[in-house]
Amino acid sequence: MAMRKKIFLISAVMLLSVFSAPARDTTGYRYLTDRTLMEWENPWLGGRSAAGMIFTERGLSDISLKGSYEQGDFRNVYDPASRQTYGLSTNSVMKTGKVVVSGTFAYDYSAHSEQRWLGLLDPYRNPFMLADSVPGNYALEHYRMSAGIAVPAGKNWTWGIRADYSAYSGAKHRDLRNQDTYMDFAIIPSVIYEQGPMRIGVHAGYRKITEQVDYTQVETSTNKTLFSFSGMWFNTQDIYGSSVPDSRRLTDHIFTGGITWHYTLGRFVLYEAFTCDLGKSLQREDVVLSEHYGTESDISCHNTLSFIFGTKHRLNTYIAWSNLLAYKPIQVQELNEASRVWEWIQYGTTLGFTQSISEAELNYTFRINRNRWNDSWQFHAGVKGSVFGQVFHKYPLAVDREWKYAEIYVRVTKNWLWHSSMLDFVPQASYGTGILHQSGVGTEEDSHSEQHLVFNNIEDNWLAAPRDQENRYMTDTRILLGLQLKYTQFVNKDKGINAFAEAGYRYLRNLSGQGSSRHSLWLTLGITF
Amino acid sequence: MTGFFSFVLLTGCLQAVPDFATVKIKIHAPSQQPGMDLTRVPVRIRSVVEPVYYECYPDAQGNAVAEVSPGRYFILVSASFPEGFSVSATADEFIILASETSEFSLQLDLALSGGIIFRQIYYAGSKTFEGANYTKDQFLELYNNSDGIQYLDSLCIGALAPVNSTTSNNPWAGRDILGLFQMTWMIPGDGDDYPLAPGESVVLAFNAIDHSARCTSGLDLSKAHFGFYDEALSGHEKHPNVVALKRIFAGQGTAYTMSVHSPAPVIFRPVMGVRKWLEDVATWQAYQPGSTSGLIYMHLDRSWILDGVECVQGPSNALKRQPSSVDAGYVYLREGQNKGNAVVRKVKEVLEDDRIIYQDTNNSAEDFVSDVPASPILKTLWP
Repeated sequence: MAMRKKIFLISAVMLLSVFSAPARDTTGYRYLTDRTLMEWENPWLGGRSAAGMIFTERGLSDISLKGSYEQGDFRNVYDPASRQTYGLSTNSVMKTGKVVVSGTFAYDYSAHSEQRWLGLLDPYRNPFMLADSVPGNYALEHYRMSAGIAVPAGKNWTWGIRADYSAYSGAKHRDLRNQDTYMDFAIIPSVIYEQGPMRIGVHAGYRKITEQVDYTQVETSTNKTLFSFSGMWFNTQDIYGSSVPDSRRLTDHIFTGGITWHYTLGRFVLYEAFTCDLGKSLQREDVVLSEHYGTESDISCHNTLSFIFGTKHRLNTYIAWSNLLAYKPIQVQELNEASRVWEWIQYGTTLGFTQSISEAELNYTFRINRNRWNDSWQFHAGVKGSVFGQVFHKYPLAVDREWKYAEIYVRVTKNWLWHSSMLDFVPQASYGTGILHQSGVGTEEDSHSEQHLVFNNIEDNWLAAPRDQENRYMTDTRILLGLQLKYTQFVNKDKGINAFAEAGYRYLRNLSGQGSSRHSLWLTLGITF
Repeated sequence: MTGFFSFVLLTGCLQAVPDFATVKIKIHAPSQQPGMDLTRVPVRIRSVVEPVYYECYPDAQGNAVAEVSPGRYFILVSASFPEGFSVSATADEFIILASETSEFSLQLDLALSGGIIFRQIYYAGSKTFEGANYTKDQFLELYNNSDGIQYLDSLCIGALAPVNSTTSNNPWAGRDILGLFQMTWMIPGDGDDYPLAPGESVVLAFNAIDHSARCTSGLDLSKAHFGFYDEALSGHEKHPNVVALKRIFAGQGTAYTMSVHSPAPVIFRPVMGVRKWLEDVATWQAYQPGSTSGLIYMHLDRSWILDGVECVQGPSNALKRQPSSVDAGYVYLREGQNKGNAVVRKVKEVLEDDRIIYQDTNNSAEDFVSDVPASPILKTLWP
């Protein structure tokens, strides 16, 4: 209840920021229905610096309802067999005088079928995870809110601040059933200095994520196994019961900071945004004097560099790198002689798991414009690649795996414009392929002392079936074909009010001999103003 | 550009450095076997919280060294020799951190293989036909693994405390005097009433009745050889033809049960005789070590134990209660409780007269198989 109250309070503040802006001059904006063209004009909108919103000429608001459905066998091990999602969202960027404000509110409800193994909402965020193997229906609610403001301070300076709040509430409806409560809050102040064609800004902020997972069962006539994972599907297993720890609380503290600069030379614009996040997390039992399950340190950085020429050409590069080190606690429960209470005392930690991800992407967009805010054609093509590596450590053993994946993609947008409406026809395709490298677990022998590291039962201690499914999903060759149609009705050209309906379909096909596929389709109805 | 230089600078921020600690173990041969070959005795450094262990072998002088991941461990040393004896030793749980070195000096205990042993332990129960948990069908099965007749008269039966392996600590850890959970029982007889021939076994049922109409295990224990039964215990049932075990220490409660997920049963004979043992209340009946209030436990000396098995809930809940000379390892049910499954000793060999010799190395991890449907041998032995 406390969480819902918090969500409603924050929603009210953020919605106020969405709708408090006065009516605006819409000259030239009548055809603008999404933010991508606004970000072409002001790339700062896609970054984390709220102060950068100040360079937005005009605003755009939208309210939409969305429904989607996806289903198919070509899925990651954490994905459900099918997923239905219904949602409502509203976004706004508004210029009121010299101040620019933004706000977002979104709510989604998803119903998943045959969901399993998903002990954390993002299982790649932390290797230490409770999970169960029984597929079942899963319901997930998601609230997302954000608000930002950019305020000029003198001739050359602009201050800004943004706050983001996101909350998930998930529940599996079959034993072992878990309940997942997730909260993500971030606040990021920023400042920009502008001198002639040069703009340079810095931002720094704090983000906190908490995730609480509780397992329980309703039907008690059969034994269920609760898995406690330590990364890469290494685990210990317990039959669920009163003596098995069944709750986890994960708390992340993340410090973020970055620099953004923007240089304009005639019609040529150079924009670069660099951000680094430094995180620390602790996972523990959700009780007083709790048992710890792991600590984790991570660093992730990403950089976007854009070369924009007028309203026709844009070349984007994106590179990202992250590194995560996860440590297992060395602890024991001891009697506190003073209080006569048993307490968990941690004596140290040992490295248990590492993960590193490198990503790079290069894409080019070419527009054939009718005007700044409407294209008759848009061509977008790119290539991206990633190297995702994980290592499970148990001295002297180091089991590693690496997924290398590369993809090329292309998207074409054709717009037909009529007097009171327009239609976007957007076919797209991509082709991706990957390579898996994975080492095995033998009897690890140290030449020094001729010692052996032995697992009690390696088939149980290192699960093969979900590991193989995940490896295949991450590296199998695939093709994606998609088609999107968007119809826009100009409801009031003078005020720039448009209504739209967007429908899309995607077909993902595994070409690596598995023959599996996944279909997804969606429908969005909304208005922009 | 900015990003490239920053990446170069930040890549080194988080570096993974695998760490290890060093464990040095010196094992000493038992005084009865001073010249034994120590290089044949495996040393296992077993993790308390993870399903792994390090194994190494000592040199001829008994020195072994292992480099291990920092953590919580205990050490088990055990080996059986074809000459008919086994040796074992243990070091209690310890914590070792990165770069540290811990040294242990362990004296091997000698035990003769054979005699009366647990052949089967059925503790996890089954289900009623309505789906509720059912544990009244628990039983123990004892077997004569030796070449000669063994008399069961005055053989004592109990389970070591703490009752469950999931308890956070064991107050008796490392002691020669051990606590018995709840009640203690004895096979009646005047010394030669219950002879057990080589290759024969007896079943001790917690409720010696026919359970087949009540639960999914389908066990008919009305033909068990002995029943845990005392008229003062309202929670027990027994067929009239089944011999009642004698409750020699009352303990608490109205029924006697084993832990359904992690009992540590033992059979033993007090060296001074049962009567003197029971009469010496000041020595053998006491609170748990370190306590001055709470439950009174019956105690025994570990050297009296003829056989014992360390049944634990799982590798991550494996609190040791049995001395290593009795059981250097542990066994657990992978499929969990209420499946009608038991732990059963492995067959070592079948002799020409079809008599089975069961494996008895005093290491249940090696000697037992788990998750076997409970199936007691209910052959009539005595008129």
